[in-house]
Amino acid sequence: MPQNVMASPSRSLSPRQGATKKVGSLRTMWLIAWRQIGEAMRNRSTLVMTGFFLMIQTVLIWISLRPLAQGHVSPKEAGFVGTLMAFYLLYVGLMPTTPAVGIASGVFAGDKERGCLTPLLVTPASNASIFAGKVLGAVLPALLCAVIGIVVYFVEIVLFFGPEKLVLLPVSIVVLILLVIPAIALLGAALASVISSRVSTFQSAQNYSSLIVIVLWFGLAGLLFLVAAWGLWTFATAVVALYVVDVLLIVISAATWRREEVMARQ
Amino acid sequence: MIEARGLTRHFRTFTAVSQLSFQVPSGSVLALLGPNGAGKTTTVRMLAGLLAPSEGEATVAGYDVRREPDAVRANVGLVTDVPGLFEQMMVPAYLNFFGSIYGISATERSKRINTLLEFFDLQAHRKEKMVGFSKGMKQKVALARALIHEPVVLFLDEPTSGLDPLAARSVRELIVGLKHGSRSIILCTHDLDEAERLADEVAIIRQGRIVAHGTPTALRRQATGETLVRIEFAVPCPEALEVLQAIDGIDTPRFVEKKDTGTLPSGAQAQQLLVEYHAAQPKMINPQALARLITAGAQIVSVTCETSTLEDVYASAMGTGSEEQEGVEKAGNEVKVMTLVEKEN
Repeated sequence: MPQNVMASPSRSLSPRQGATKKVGSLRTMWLIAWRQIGEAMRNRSTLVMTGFFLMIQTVLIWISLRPLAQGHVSPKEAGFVGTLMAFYLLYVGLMPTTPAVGIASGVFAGDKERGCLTPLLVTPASNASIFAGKVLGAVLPALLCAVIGIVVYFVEIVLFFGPEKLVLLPVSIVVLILLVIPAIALLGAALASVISSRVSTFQSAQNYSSLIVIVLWFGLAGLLFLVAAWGLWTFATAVVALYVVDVLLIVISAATWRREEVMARQ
Repeated sequence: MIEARGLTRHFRTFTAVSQLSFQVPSGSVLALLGPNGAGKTTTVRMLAGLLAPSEGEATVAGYDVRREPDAVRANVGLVTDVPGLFEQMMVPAYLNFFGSIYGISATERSKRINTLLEFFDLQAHRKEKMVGFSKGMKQKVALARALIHEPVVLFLDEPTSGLDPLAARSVRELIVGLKHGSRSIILCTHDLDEAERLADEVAIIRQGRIVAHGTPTALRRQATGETLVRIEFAVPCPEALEVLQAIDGIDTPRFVEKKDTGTLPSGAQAQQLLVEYHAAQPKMINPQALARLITAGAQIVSVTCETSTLEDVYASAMGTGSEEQEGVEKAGNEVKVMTLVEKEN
């Protein structure tokens, strides 16, 4: 029988029309991103992975650059040493962007899989702020790890081979590498979000996205060694192309992750 | 207050919900009852501002679901069968996150979180990550999340699905506690008992259409309109039929065979040990019938009255379709049959 008697919950559990206040899209985006960043940074595996990459990078630099960069470097060798140093810079910058793919797969496909998306979608938050918050929350921890890797790399160069060796790094290449790292992190996150909408599990999203990102890494690394022969414009074009692809993927993904689309697919 | 008028939703060529119209006044609970795939969740999603209706209109908490979905979402809470928690978080941080998204001030959030933790008996677990919680506890957190912004409308989409009986009972008790004079609740379920216990009104949905709607009592009455009365005698009473036929208000009296007659006569005489009839007003008719039977020499052992249950109403509503419809709903009905068997066991 229905319990027609109105229960008397505590007064504070009473409903109240208009108890909420409209929150700006930027603030909502940041709240969503911040929650993810907190979760990623508290995740022991993220910290272990970052530590592991730093250790590997230290060993690699010491072993491979020491014979070339220690002591006097002739002008003939300077070009090659500079390219090799740039390659390691690319490596230490790109390696930590791996978590962007994992986090993005987790917050799109993973949240969908675990049913965590619906509670977020039923809030007044706009589609754009939810999507942007999730992408930002995947990209920022990866970029933070990349910054740590790059700083440690420069410190290691200074400590192992002396500050004067930093000049061997071509400035234009360094700038392009520093630009390509966020582009790859963003691409990883956007790609994972697009793939997440088409697969049912977090694992599939991560596998497919990682595969594509790894192919891109090899492409970029190869291109870096060809800069001397083909010219700087090749690498610069690749960086611009990556940003264009990022924008396209974000537009596609944002449309895919609209409430209406997500709910209609479930 | 929830009001739906001709609510319809198509997914390409498939119509999930068709011409749904109902009202849920403030302070009442409407149960949407139906098998899996009947359109309950789609209905809730439209009313919660998550899916736009293809046709029809609905207002929730005074806002139009099509034109003001943001305002609708700001005033509703939703709990589904999957708690959907960020399980690496602790309960206060989790509720604080959602409170912030709803734009509740920090002071108010803190007060609300404490009240909710107390109401849902989660105080002792406030420093634990939710990953270790039982499904029942997770569902309590989901309810707390849905209430953080004090919504005037609450949608509960199979909130006890997958819970063990004790956890389900605990969640049901909490739902009763959420009934409030100014809150409207829609409860989707395929648990008839749950619907009967919690809801003021029940709407039975089949293939996206409401096939029966009313209070559980009215639906039961609608199903047969009458109460089945059975009278058992200690010794055969051949006069019983004649006596009962003479009373106005008694419908189709007849002897039915009593299965276990023990040492009593078998065959034709055994059939005169149990008589049954239908009566629209058993409170008026039964005293009269019993008095006359006793006068006629009947030795009455027991009298039982059976009114139809919501289960009968549901079965009748689900069993009236064409063969084609039955084929479509086969999977859903199988789930239903299982539930009924489990309940009987």
